[in-house]
Amino acid sequence: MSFRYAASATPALSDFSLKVAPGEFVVLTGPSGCGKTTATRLFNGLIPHFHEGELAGSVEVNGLTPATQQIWETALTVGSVFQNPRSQFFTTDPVSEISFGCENLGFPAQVTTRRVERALRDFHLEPLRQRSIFALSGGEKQRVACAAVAATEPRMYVLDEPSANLDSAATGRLREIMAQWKAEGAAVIVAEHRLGHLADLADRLVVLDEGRIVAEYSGDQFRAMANDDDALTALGLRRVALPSIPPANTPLQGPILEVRDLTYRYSRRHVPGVGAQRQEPALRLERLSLPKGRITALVGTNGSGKTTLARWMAGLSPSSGGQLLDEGREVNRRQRRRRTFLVLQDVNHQLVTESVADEIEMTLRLAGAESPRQTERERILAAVDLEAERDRHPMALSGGQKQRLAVATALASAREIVILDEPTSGLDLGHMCQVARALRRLAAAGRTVVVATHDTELISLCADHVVALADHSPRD
Amino acid sequence: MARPDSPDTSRPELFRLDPRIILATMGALNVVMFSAGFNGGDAAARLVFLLIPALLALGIRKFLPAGAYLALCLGALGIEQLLLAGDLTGPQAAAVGVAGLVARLAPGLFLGYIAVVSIRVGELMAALESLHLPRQIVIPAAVVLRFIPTVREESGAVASAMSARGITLSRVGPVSWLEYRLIPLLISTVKSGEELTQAALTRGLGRPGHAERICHFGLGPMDAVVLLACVAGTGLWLAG
Repeated sequence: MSFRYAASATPALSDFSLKVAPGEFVVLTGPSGCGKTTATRLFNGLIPHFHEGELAGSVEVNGLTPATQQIWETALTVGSVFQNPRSQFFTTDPVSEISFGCENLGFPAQVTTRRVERALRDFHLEPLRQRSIFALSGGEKQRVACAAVAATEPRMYVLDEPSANLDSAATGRLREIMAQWKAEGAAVIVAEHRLGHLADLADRLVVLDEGRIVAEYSGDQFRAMANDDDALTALGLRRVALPSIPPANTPLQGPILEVRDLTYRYSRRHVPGVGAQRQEPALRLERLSLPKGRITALVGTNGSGKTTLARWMAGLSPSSGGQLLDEGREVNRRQRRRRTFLVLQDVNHQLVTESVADEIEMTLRLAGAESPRQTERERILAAVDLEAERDRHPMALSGGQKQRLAVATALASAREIVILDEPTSGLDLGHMCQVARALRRLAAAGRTVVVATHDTELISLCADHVVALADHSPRD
Repeated sequence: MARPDSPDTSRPELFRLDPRIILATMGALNVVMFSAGFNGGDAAARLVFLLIPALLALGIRKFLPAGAYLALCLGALGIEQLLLAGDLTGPQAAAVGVAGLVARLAPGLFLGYIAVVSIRVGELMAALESLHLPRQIVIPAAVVLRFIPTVREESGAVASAMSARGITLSRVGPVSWLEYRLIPLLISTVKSGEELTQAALTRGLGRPGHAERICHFGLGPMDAVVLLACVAGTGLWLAG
């Protein structure tokens, strides 16, 4: 079958055929834009009912045809989990969220109540039942999303990059959930870049590129290939056997930046229907050393305070004690604001102008250049391989290109410390390597680069030094 | 943005109201605030309605906002009544106008704020459906309530992003500043709206027919107190 989105000239999928048996676990993978998300939408009926376009061929799920029936009819059979845990909640607390699907699909109240209680138990969500979803971590949100889908007991689960925003512990829990679904005899289809956690579950690996299936492997073939990084790279795939992170306690040479005695506490915040929640310290650091002009990877589970530390270093949040020392001299909050450049996790918030070239020029002007020279702009764009995109709108770029543009603005800003928060979440191999290259260029330009990340492949490609933050929270 | 991760140390609310009572109060309060005059029974009716949002705020432990709100509104109402007791000079008449406006607008706004922070989306849907309102009203209302905190979160993230890039009002001028704040906010809000719709559709939101909700809500003693206060206030206004 094939599909072309209404707004696009080229088909998103061509000659696509896939047959999935009950209890079978199929992984769809391939570079960004290969059509794997499109394929998931065929199964849950979002194509053609939500995303319109030209559809040829047919889809059948358990005797049903998602293309011709209503989405809600398909929803009785197919459960969907999406990439962004933030934007798949219709309600604001776990119990309503889990009951939402059952209620919509017309289950009697007693059945819904029973399913909700079981889902809370099965997914270890009991301790969270009173929380607002706005106070949950990414991993917890994704677990609630899975529970909510499982409560309707679909015959098939379709997941679109469910692990993109999760750390390794949360990804491990997601893996267990999917294994359970498979064991219960449901068909599971997962579209993913990250393959590490899927190798021992998969019955089939389907590799797509430019809308076509380019390779198909059985589970055993996939596992046999798992340690062959060259074969995976040739297919444009991320590694299956993840590189281990080198120990952090190698002595540092040369000039260093140092963070000392930082304790950071979140203020109390009100949560609808729950009341005020007092927050425990989100970060406690005695000493953290960062080599200047090098790339330091900051690792640790969700909730270990990586983002908090990044924001504090950038001077965005007030200090509650703690110092940043540059070769022994203190850098106060105002100086931190001037000397650090923070690339936030959601880079979409940070790109504001109408073209790639404007983005760089504005940054150069903010950095003090009266009339930025074109050569300067081009030199920076060349450093991140974005010359060809100079006239495009930043929001029209791919995820990897946006990250590189953000790195380019960091270069243009002339600030000496550049901090990046999860720059490769959701990126495929090619884009991840390009981001790694852009980070190397930053360090080569003398910048001190700090990258908070879960991505061990990125770390093995570009980090000079690795610091692990201890986990202070019992949650994931 | 990372969310604080910590063990749950929440304290329960003192009392919660049925969403229907909050909505009914909102209706009555706004009618009275904008229709009631300055004297006698009308002023008393306004005093009653002015106190209700403060009571609700105490119920969800919003002590500080409740205090600030009461100080502002009682102050404004007091100034209005004090000045009206004598003969008005020009500036005094203007002061009465301003104080009157504050005392009439603030209660509605504060009650709106209390509604947003206290009503859960699931509760609102169940409550509105129990009134047999059509889906065309229930779903948009739920979406609006769901989106207010999202917009606030996104807006904070955009503000951080601007600040991290050194984009300040004084450096880029008001027009660009507003553009740089609004465009990313709009784009991200539209995007999450679209993702939310997809998630909701794949979970059966479009199905016609009745949905049995399990969310518990119902009338409690405090609902009766608030309802009585509303009736009393409306009565005072009608009688005055």
